[in-house]
Amino acid sequence: MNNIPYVHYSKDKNSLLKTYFIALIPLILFSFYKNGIMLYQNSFISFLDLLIPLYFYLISIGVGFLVSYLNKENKWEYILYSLIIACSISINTNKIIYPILLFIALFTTSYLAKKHDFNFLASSRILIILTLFIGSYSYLNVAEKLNAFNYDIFDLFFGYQVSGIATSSLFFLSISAIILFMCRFYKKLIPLMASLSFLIISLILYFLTKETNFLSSLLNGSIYFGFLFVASDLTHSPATKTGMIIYGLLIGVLTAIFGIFLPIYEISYISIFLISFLIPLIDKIIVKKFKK
Amino acid sequence: MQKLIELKKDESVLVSSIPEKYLKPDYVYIPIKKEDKLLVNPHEKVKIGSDVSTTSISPISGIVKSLKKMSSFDDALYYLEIENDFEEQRIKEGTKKRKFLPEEALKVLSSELKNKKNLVLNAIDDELYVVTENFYLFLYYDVFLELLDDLDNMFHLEHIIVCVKSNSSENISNLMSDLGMYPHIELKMLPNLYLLGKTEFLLSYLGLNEENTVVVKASTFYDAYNTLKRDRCPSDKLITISGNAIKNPMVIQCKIGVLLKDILNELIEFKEKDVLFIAGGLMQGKIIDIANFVVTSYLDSILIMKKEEAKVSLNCLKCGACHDVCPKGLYPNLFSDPHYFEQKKNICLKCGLCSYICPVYINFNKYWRKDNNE
Repeated sequence: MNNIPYVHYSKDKNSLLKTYFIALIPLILFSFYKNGIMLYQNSFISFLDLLIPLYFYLISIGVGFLVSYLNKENKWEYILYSLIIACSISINTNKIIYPILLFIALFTTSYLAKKHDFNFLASSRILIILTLFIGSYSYLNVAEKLNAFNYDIFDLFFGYQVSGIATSSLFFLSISAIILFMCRFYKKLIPLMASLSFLIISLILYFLTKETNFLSSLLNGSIYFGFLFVASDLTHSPATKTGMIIYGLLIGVLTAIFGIFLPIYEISYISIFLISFLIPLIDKIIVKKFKK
Repeated sequence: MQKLIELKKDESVLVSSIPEKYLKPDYVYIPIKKEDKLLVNPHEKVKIGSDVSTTSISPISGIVKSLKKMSSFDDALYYLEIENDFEEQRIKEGTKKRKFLPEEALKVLSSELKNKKNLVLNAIDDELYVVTENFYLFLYYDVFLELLDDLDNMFHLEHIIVCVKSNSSENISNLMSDLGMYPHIELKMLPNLYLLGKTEFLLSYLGLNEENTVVVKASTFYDAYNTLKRDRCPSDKLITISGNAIKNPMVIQCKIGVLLKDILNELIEFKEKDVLFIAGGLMQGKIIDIANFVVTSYLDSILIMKKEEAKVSLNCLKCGACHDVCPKGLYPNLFSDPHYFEQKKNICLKCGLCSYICPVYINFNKYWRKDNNE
């Protein structure tokens, strides 16, 4: 019998989506401060520029809603996806091209992901890089361009560093991680394993090459934001615990390796996108193992 | 010890603490299975305890009528109709308490009892809104303690444990007041965790070895008490009739083989018109048609629930929650793979926890339905 209408755990997929939104709140609030209020207080930007982060969030929500409507999918899921992308983009992203490209990227990749199992959120995020090439490829806000402030390592941890609009703060990312980890359905093994393997491989690479880039990348929020919000995708990730561990490990390792030659702000999304093509294979291997 | 969870339930569904009786039905229906051989003829008079087939006895005294097509929790083909003469004549008129022999106890309870060190009386109901086992203990705790004491004297057991849920306050208070007379009998109050009623999980929780322990359900112990101490054949049973669509959830003592419809007409007040009848519990039971449904010895509950639309299953999130709660450590999200399902179907307990926890409301029972051709 279908007992679900009468007896079911108090949480469901909607609770998971709510948790994702709640986890984004501290990051979004800090983005208003770092890319708006703080710059306005120091006269780096005008009052209108204060609204740039808000513009990106609102336009992304609108695009997410439109794509969900056209795809006849859950609107909150697509609004979440587009909001995650908005959090990760550069403050210098072209404001006119962005919504068009976001729409095209979300619409096409989500359509393709129905036929082939891959992380379309990561692929959409990668496509957004194209908007940066219309202007100049840079994640620096006005103050960072002018090198106006001096920060110590604690400031970097708190979020005063070059990154996506809302991905700079490791402190607030840790709060988001705690919020997400409390949800039973969140795939915590993926970001945990990805972060762990990324840390270990980056440290190994640092000791081998003495390149400080590897150390600075350890504190970059963009990478962990990708692990936390994109790698643990709602549907396009492995089905088993072992699969999640392998998937997370591979993403972390590839991210650390890509750190050698690719821009730090996108490497986690590129790794997630590439490794996500292995999901069917990982699942197949694990299922075979369990059959024994 | 496996991780077990507490199920979320509607606290407004409360079962009355006073059991009702339905012991004088006009007719009873005895399930006759394919392999059974009938031992009576139409119009023959039978007494309580008379063998009517190779595997069943008559729960009433009366006249054998005919074979009918009915339905029940058992997989019986036909049901033997017996008309009640209300004389309550028994084959054995044993009413006084008697002494019994160890061989009888071994036959009735478990032949392995003589080789075991521990005896556990399990009065735990797993299913939500079901309190049948709990009520067996509540109604017969004094005689159960006597029988446990007799068994202890006979088989010199190391541990005799009575298990109740910690929220069963009446049972705990009754047992606490009487256990002083039986120093060998221990009372264990267990948390309200789903599946603790199953022997495997109960023993694991108690830290007892299955090889040294016999676990007896309170309902089985009631039958054993009747057979051993009163020399009577089991002819009646308790069932819980509960759910959110009735005004008066209760436990009913009824004759085995009565029509469910008769009990409902006589004792149950409905507060909803559009209802579903579920036999055997929300987690592990099945929806039934009550038209010709017979209460058989395996049935412990009927839940009457307000009809609600089934939740639409969405795409699997692959979150692994079903694996987390699976007491057997299976991956129910892989049941869609026929090879995996084929290999694991005998391990699965069909406890329903995977469907309970699933965030996208996947009904994993559908795989069993296919398997069982339900």
